[in-house]
Amino acid sequence: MSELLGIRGLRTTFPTRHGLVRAVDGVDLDVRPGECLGVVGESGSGKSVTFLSVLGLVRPPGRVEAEAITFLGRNLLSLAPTEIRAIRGRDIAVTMQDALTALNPAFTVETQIVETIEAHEPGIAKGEARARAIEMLRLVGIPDAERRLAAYPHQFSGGMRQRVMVAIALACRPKLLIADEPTTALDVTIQSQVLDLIDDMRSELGMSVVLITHDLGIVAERCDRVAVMYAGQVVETGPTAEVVASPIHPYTQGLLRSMPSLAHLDAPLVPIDGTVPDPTRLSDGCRFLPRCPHAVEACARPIALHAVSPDRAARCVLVEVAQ
Amino acid sequence: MSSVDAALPAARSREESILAGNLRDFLANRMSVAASLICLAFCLIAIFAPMLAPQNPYETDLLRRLQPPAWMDGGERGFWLGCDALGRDVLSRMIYGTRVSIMIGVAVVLLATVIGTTLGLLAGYLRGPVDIVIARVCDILLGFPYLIFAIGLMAMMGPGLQNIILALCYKEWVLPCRVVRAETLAAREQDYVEAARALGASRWHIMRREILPNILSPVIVVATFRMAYIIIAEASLSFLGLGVQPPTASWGSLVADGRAFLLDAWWVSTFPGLAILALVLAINVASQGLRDAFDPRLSR
Repeated sequence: MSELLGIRGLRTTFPTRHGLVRAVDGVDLDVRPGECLGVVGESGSGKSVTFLSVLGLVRPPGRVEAEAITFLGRNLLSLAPTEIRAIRGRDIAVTMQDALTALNPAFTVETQIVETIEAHEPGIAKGEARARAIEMLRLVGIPDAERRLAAYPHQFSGGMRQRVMVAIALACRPKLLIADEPTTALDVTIQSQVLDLIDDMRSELGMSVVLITHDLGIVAERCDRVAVMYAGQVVETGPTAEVVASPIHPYTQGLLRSMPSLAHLDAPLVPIDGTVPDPTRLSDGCRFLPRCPHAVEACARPIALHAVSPDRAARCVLVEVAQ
Repeated sequence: MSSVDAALPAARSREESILAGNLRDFLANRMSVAASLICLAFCLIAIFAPMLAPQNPYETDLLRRLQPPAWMDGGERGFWLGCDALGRDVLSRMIYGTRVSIMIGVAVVLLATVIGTTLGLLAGYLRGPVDIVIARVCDILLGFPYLIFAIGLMAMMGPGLQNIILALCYKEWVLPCRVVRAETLAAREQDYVEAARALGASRWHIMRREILPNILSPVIVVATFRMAYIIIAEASLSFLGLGVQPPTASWGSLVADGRAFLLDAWWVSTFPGLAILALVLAINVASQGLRDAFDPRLSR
């Protein structure tokens, strides 16, 4: 299994007045070349922080620890800050959650795309960078790209801004795109356009995509594999089709039951009872225990991620018992 | 394609940066436009002083000692605002004094803004020990009364143009520094700063290109407001004899020149005083307009 990005034992903590928040607690993830990995979970489950940690973007006093984070065989943990910075944007690009505010309001779109290109390819000719900027805007489907280059972010609609952001992120042809909730602020119709766009880019540029979202529907539709996160841990991973068809972890099952389905419009939605645990007071045992319909005594002790098949794993005592 | 083209003209009419929009708001305010024209006029007077001055400002003529303005008895054409105790033309000295006053004002504000903005950006973006040191230095400097400390510095360094600029700068940078630091603290949490970081921008790039352009408005407003204060401060120092040295004239020293003759020859002090008043008022009104145009809460 040759992975593009491998995360082992990632822990990210934030000291707060109320105690240590374990935002990410022992996450193992792999992203393979050319695949689309969906990372699903509720707000605060640690999806975004996981990847911010990988890129060294967690600000003090937040602390990042990991056994290993490898990207193309290099251990990101051992890199100097300037080396990590060179990887950000050039090899691993991120599109931020909120496209409406993620563009610098003071500069035209052209300046912003060109500056990103120049940051990673110093010495590139102005004309060439500009040509690339036009090409990127065209690629993300912005009509009249040449003229729109001179526009400021506030002159674009939300969907267009999201596209511009994808264009900036892809300007250096990264090997991995981390799309953090790329559709949160958008209409449903625009949502699918943006996701189609990311899909197209993926096949065209041969990159991998990590799609961070809280919407299992999007993942089911677009992703090869999925990782479900809950309270800072990965609770289930596997090929999307298998996970959706036969979820193992009770949380994944609950998520799927609480999702409306067009095929069964009259089927009642079943919400998951209870709320996400307080991140300062996480137990050592299964974090889903208080909300789990199948909870047993054994759930109170630490549960590891168990492989179910070569490609699937779940963090549940039921799997342990079954083996 | 055609439907897209049809939608474009409306969008294109708004194709201007935020600063350009602010400028348009500013120009819509007549009072502040008038005030900035007055400021501009003073600047032109300063630049073209040798051509505008009717007399040599340094030429003494004891026969014209305290000669009244041209329209009064004993006045003389060509010496429009009268003469001082050494028979020098008041108007010419004022025109040359405009140079000194404006130059010092601009130099001090420019220097202070550049220093303050740089330190404020560093403190606000880097945080940590850098922030603590800069913030403490600011606090300490704010503890000293402005003019008294400047007077002390002048007494130590001795008079002179360069020394006035330094003496006024010593803590003038604190204000832009604090404003910039506060704005930077807010701006560094913006998504676009985070996005720039995620795309591999360097700290230097983020401070210079992501944060600075977006916090420029308050910096400009503070700078213009302070210009008025600096002009008064310079006049005060010169009035006290600590500023520019004779025979060079600044408005403050001109007011001081006429102080002894206020009852007999009021024109020696009054006109330079009025000049200070006019310029400071104009700057204040203009910067008021700037602030209104730049304030996001007073949206268009």
